[in-house]
Amino acid sequence: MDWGQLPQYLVLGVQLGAVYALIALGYTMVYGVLRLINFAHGDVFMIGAYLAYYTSMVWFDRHAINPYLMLGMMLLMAMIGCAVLGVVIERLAYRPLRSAPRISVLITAVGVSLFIEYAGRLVVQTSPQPSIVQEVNVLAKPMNIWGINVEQSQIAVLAVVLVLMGLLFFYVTRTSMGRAMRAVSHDFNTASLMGVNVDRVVVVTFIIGSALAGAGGMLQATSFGSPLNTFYGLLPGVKAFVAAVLGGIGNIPGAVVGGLIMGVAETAVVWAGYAGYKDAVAFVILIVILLFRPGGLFGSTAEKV
Amino acid sequence: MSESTSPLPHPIESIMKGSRYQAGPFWIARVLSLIATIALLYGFHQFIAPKLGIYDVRLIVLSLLFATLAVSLNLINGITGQFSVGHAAFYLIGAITAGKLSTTFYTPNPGNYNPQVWLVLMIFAGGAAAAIAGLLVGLPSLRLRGDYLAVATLGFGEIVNVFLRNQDGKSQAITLTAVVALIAISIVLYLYILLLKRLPVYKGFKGFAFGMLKLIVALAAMRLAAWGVFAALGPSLDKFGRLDTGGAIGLVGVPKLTQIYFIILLFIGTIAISRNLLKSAHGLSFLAVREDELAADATGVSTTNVKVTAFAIGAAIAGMAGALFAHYNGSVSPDDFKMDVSFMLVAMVVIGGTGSITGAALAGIGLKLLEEGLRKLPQIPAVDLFSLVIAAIVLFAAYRFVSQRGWLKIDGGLKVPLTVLGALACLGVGWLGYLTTKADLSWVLRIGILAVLAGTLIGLLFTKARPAALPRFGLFAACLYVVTLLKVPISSGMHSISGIENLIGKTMYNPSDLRWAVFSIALVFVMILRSQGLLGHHEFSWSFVKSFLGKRELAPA
Repeated sequence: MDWGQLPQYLVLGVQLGAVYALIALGYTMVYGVLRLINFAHGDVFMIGAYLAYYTSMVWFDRHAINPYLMLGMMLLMAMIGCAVLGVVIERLAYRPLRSAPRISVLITAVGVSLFIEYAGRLVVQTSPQPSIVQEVNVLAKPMNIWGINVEQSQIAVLAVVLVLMGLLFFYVTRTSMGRAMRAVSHDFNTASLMGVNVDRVVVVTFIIGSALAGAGGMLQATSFGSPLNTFYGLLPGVKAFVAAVLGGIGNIPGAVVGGLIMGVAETAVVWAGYAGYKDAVAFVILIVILLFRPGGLFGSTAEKV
Repeated sequence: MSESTSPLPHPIESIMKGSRYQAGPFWIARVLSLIATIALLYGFHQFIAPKLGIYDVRLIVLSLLFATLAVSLNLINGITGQFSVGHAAFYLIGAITAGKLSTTFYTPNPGNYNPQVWLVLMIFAGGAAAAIAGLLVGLPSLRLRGDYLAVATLGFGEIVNVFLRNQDGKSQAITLTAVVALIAISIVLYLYILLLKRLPVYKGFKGFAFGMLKLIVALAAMRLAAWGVFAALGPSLDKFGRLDTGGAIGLVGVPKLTQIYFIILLFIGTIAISRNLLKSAHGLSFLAVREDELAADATGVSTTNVKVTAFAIGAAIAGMAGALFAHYNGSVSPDDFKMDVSFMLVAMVVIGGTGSITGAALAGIGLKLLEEGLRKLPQIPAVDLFSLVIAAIVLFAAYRFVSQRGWLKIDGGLKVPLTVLGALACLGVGWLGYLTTKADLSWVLRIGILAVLAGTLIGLLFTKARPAALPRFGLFAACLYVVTLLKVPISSGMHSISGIENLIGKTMYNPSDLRWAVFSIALVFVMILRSQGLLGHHEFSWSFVKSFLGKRELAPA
């Protein structure tokens, strides 16, 4: 427990939390519209990381391309690919179960998650080397701000998250589709009676949520050195759901704040010398928040429990 | 209990009209069935068990243990309606408690205790430890419902796992004093929650400030409790040192005392407990909580008691199963009790039909056998897997095509069994074809695809089906052809990408991955085709079997 190191860990925590926040945004939107804990969301995140990796593999050897352009390409490919995957999952697995009991849908989500993990392992047997993904990251230059090492990429990650959150907030509150989304979230059946095309709203929700998860996967893969495998998204996914609950389900800024708190708490535990317990701290936070403020930090407390 | 005399709420009355709650058989029949069970068990132990191979024993043990776990989870999830996804944690707690006690105090050869007596003791120790944990988890269930409870219990399971993973007797392990402090904190928390129900509710900023105040008071009270425990017990407990359950590797060298009949007994006992509970007034109050908590509360059912009891009983049984597993397996590793085990158990309960004891037991045995049986999947070359996927898509499309035109229409209640038989027959034929021409699966499948296509085409041409379907069929066949063509450019052109190369090359797949992929597809398909679970709310009874075979209609539940 070295107090001088604390700011450094906080910076790392904010970076980690920004990625959690991106995944949490998708969770919050899907849960808000369908009341479904989409356990496959973490695996969509994993696919995003892999798509970014393969994009960089395809383009990296041809040095002609501008590295910044390539980072943008990786982000774009991950987002597009994940959006397509999200739509496919919704169409094949969740839509047939629209009227089924919610626990059945949850089991289906678990099944989809297992399928992506293990079928993914059939496809990518040799685990790719993550070093290339990091090499691609030209933004990984350390700067020294008041004695703290901050990489440009860490600022970039936070900036991307805030920009995406802002866009999403604008979309949900200012456009007609966003209004439809809020209507469906408020009352599914009444919205469909009032002429809202519910299926379309659900598809759009999945597109946006999955694209955000894909962006998170790309950011995670390019900034952290942990090797990619198909279980890459399992724990981040669950922690991101905790972040969404922490911020209040259905609340967009809440999800981002929750994600940041989650990331900082995790690195703070590592800083305190209990690295072994870092995966448990998210759930401790979760249980405490559920006991004392079940609606989340920014959510309403009514009827959430 | 007071609720036994209270009038029954409306939803329960409607349930009671179903066939489940009619009076049971006479006690003579019960005694006879008990004797028959004991005789069967004895015969099994004497004559069949010695002849079983190790693999068969493992199959039986695991499937029965998981069936027991599923039935005990059904008590929480299905009967009381509290959505718990942390059951593996109770299983783990029971296993690790019993295993730790056995490795510490039991010496085999010559044993210092009678092995059977010791095992029974350990079963109860594991059950008791898990029941305490269940009580603790029952606490959040007092305030949470639905998905939130699910996530909280999921978190609890993960906390237990991470916690035990760190108990290796070294720097990050905690002392026994800390465990006692943890329990004290939980008790304080429990009392606090009980107190909280009596406090007024404010809105707006006042509510926020009041909530923060409550939070601070709670934290202070918990800190005080922890401080008290450390002050009182710290010095005396220090000699036990830090907890050591082997960390991530887990306990090894647990004496292997478990015989199969212990597991069968636990399985039968669990079913008996669940069934008899359902027939008692207590069980009805459990059902009342599931159907409508508010109404149950209003009619005098103590919902708090019901929920905590359900969690405690379910957890105790899971702990007993864990103790048996520890003494069967000889080692307990936290890796065997991760999140996916919890999900598997919930899947068993849901697939069997939420609330159905029979369903949970059957699905527990069936899913575990399926999971283990898929281990025998052969290593399939990549190209063949590719054609397998195409064949599956074609078969599904052909099935849709045929069934939408009513060619497969089967009347009456025989529909489900016949469909299952047909699917099994298809699978069997495919399997046989693969076994006889092991050389190249893809040729078998290609011929199969062609046969299906040709058959569908001929069927279309020579029946009175609408000719309008022909263009769509042609389009479908063309798409299929393009997909098969795509294989060549992909395999020749994309070798620069290491992962994709594996997709196309002649590499063998890891059977375990294939097993889980097939298993997850089966899970999703069962849910899509029958989202109420295989048995729905029904229990096993002869009239149900008859109605399943189309003999007569079930009484409306």
